[in-house]
Parts: sequence; structure tokens; C-alpha cells
Amino acid sequence: MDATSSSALLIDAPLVERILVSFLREEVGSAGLQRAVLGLSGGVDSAVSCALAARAFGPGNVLALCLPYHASDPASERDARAVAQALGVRCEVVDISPQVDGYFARFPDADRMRRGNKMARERMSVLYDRSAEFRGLVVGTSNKTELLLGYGTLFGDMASAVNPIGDLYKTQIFRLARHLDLPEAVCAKAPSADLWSGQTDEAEMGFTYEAVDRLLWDMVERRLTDAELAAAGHAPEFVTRVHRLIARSQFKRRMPIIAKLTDRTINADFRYPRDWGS
Amino acid sequence: MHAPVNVSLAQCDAILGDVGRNLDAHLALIEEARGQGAGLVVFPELSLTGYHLRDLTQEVALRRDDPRLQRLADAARGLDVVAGWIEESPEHALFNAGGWFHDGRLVHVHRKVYPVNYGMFEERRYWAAGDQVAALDTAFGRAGLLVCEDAWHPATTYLLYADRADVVVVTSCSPARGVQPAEDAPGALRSARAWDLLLRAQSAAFNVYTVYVNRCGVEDGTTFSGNSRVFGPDGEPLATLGLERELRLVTLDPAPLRRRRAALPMLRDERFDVTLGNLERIAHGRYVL
Repeated sequence: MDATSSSALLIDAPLVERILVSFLREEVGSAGLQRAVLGLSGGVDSAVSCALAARAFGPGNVLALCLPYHASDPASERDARAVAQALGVRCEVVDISPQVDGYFARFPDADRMRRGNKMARERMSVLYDRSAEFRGLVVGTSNKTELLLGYGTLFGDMASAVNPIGDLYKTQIFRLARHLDLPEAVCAKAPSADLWSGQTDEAEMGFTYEAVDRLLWDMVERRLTDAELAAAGHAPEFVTRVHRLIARSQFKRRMPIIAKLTDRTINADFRYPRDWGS
Repeated sequence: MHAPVNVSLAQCDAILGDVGRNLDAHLALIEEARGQGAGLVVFPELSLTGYHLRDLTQEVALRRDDPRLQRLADAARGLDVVAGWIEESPEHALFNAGGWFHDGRLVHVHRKVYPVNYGMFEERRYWAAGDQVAALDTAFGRAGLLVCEDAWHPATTYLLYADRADVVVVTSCSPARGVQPAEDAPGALRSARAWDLLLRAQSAAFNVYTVYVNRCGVEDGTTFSGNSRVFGPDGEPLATLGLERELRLVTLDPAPLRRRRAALPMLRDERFDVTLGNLERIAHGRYVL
């Protein structure tokens, strides 16, 4: 069996843009709103979400928040501003250092993971607070690759009201970014959670997005068996590792489970559409 | 088919669970279509209720004698209207129903025979399955109605063909899926191309006009792919709509149908007794080596 070529991950970018812009308009409109708030990190995912929101609602109806911590790479804020400027979107900077450092002054031994998760949740709390003031919904910036691998903070960067890019793999996001004419600095740079200087996703995860996206395509979209995945050229140890990452992060992709006591437990047998009456 | 008919494809959105507002939108579109000279106005599957109803299903269900359906029938004065809703039977079973309205009456109901229960679909959880496929006589000729997945079981179209339908109307709420580039059809979704292939082939195989009306808009993250279509009895497309809301008038003419049936007299030569006999044998497990 042939390995999936990267052509399997090609997208008809104009078609995807049309679908996602209309998705944002209708789903935000379902809440009775026509405005969007999102965190702009300087990376490609949030740049793509921002561009889609700007097309859906008009740049004047999008509030982009740049939420740096003092250890963030200064290039991130510069790139975020370049994206906002290119799109004509209002960009505000809220330094989250005081709220993060104020908390960890009490827990100086906290490790990198705790600090990174705390930063992501502080950013979330700022976005939701500002969304109430701006009367817009928080637009998500998590792509399918990181949602599947669990490479995100629950109730942090994974939190949003509507996510236009959660069914696109990372390599597809780059393709959409180029179609959307986003600044070259954003389209070309290595993805990073920017939790510490020089961090890149690919170095931290130990594989490239191209390799993992091809595997995820064969595993998730085509549902190949382990034997078929091996025959398609995916190393068995890589397959095992990625499978474990997906299974272990399943809780991040679901609402909290509720202990069942009645005949109509929320989401088990009390099942209504999200767009109820809209 | 004994008269031409102007069919209006009402490719529209719906407000989930709000029958009143959807009904108002239907009445407005019917008048707009009437102004364009429509003789038949076709709305998508579940046009009066929206699709992702889940537990709302029993809350929006209407019996056939509901006054709201009568308002739709009253709007169908001098023309035909096809629309979809959740039908509650006298036994309180809930069906995904397509109704054919004409001159103040609900003249025909097709209950979806194949509610979909795989992948993203969970229709059997909420809906009972219909068990009848029948054509009806209209002012322009004989016609039949199928709802979405029904058309993916070719036996349903075959039954309408056997029942002498000239025009097969298919309504759907088909979600947009598959965004890889198609070299021969830029901008076309994989899901829409699959419908195109299916209906084109069935139109040509059964020598019928096919009128396909799909929903547009977004519900619970799902984009409905529009792309409503009309195919002639030779399978050639007579109209292809885009992703967005549109009211499109297409004329179905008896002459091409007559020519096609003369050139390819499949229906004349059809041997229903052979089909029936073999189906009975297969259904009863009597295989012949």
C-alpha cells in the first residue's frame, strides 16, 4: 500500500474559505451577534481564524488581542501586529505577566507545564472578559492536528465559542494561510506554543507536522488498520505513539461527564441541538 | 408527461425548530415563485423544521391535519408545492415526511424509507421508517417523491419508474464534506459530486427527469451544500445551483422525455415479473448456482 502523499492533504482553498466564512457568520449570528474576539499569537492558526473572522464580519467587527507573557518571543507580538494591520483589524496588547507572576509568586517551584497551562488559561479569561464588553463571540484557533494529539490546554487555548479551523490539519492551515494572503513571516515560520524562548512544536513533539498529518489522515480519515498503516510506510512505533496521544487526550475533546441519576441526563438523553431556535 | 411544468427550486435555509417562522418563509417564497410562473415549488428535506432536531423532534411534529400544513396547502392554489416536516402518525410514531400540496390539499405524503444511521447521522434514533414508495398523478404528469438517503437505494427510484413516474423529486439536507481539489470541477465538494454522479446516472438509467433540492445554510457546525440540480431524462444537467440560497426556475418539457423513451424503450420492455420473481427467490434465500 502506498504511503499517503501530501496531495491527500491538499484543499480547495477558495471553497474552504467560503464554507468557513459562512460558518462564522451563521454560528455567531445564531447567538444574536455579529462580532468576534480572538487571541492573536503571531502564529499561523490564529492568523487564519482572524482573517476568516475579518471576512465574515468586516475588520471593524473583530477585536484581536495580543496577550504576551514577558518570556514570549518579541517576534510573536510583531507578527501578530503585522497580521492585524494587514487585515485592518483592531489589535490590543494585554500583558498577562502580572496575573501569571502574581499567582506563581506563591508557587515558585511550579514546572514549565503548569506555567504554560496557566498562561493559556489567563489568556482565555481575558478573551472571555473582553468578549462580553465587545459583544462578540470568542473564535477558536485550535487546528485538527493539535486537537487530535491533545497538544493544547483544556479550558485554555482550546476554549472558544465557535472554531472555524478545528477540522483542518496543520499542513492544510498553512495552505489556507497562503490563499488568504497572510504576511509571509506568519506563513513561513515554525509553529510554536511560545512558552519559552526558541520552543518549536515539532522539536517538542519529536516529529514534523507533515509526517504526523499524513499519519493522521491515514489513521483518522481513512481508518487504516495497523498493518495497513505499516504497509503505507508509517513506522509502527510512531503509529503507536500517536495512537496513544489521541486516546489519552480524548477527555479534552468532550464536555465534562455527568454522573447519571435521572432519565434525562444532560447530553446523554437530554439531547438538543446547539443552534436550538436560531 | 403531458404538459410542460416550470419547477421552482427553493434552495433555502431553515430556522431550527421554529415551524412558524419557517412556514412564513415558505409562504413568501411560494408567492415569489408564483410571480416567476412556477407550476411546482420544491423545498428541501425538513424545510419546515430544520434538520438537527434531536430531542426537538417530538416537539415540532405535526399531524397531517395540523392547521399549519393547511396554510401551506392553501398557498398551493393553482400550483404544486413540495415541503418537508416531522409527521406524527395517529400511533404517535414520528416520520421524516415529504408532503405534496396542491389546490388546498395535502395530496401525497412520502415518509423517508431509509433514515440514515451511520457516520454523522443518527436519524433512526428519532424517526420511524416509512414503507411506501408510490408515484402520484399531477397536472403535468406522473411524479414521485424521495427524501435524501432514499435515493441512495436505487430500488426506490426503480419503484417510482415502475410506477410510471416521469419526474422524480428528491429533497435533502446533505452536509458539505470533502474539500480536496477536484481537477475537473473546481469549487465542487466531494459530497456534491457524489450526488451529481448518482442522480445523473439514475436519470439516464430510468429515463426520468430528476429534480434535486438540497438545503443551504449552517446548523450546529454543519454546512448544507446546496448544489440543487435538475437532470434531463438523458442524464444531462439542466440546472446546477451553487452553495447559497437561491430560487431557480427550470422548465421540464415533455418532448425530450418522449424522444428519450422512444429511442430507449426501457420502460416498454421492462419485465417486472422477472424482477419480482427473482427478488422473491432472493428474499426467501433460494439461491441458484
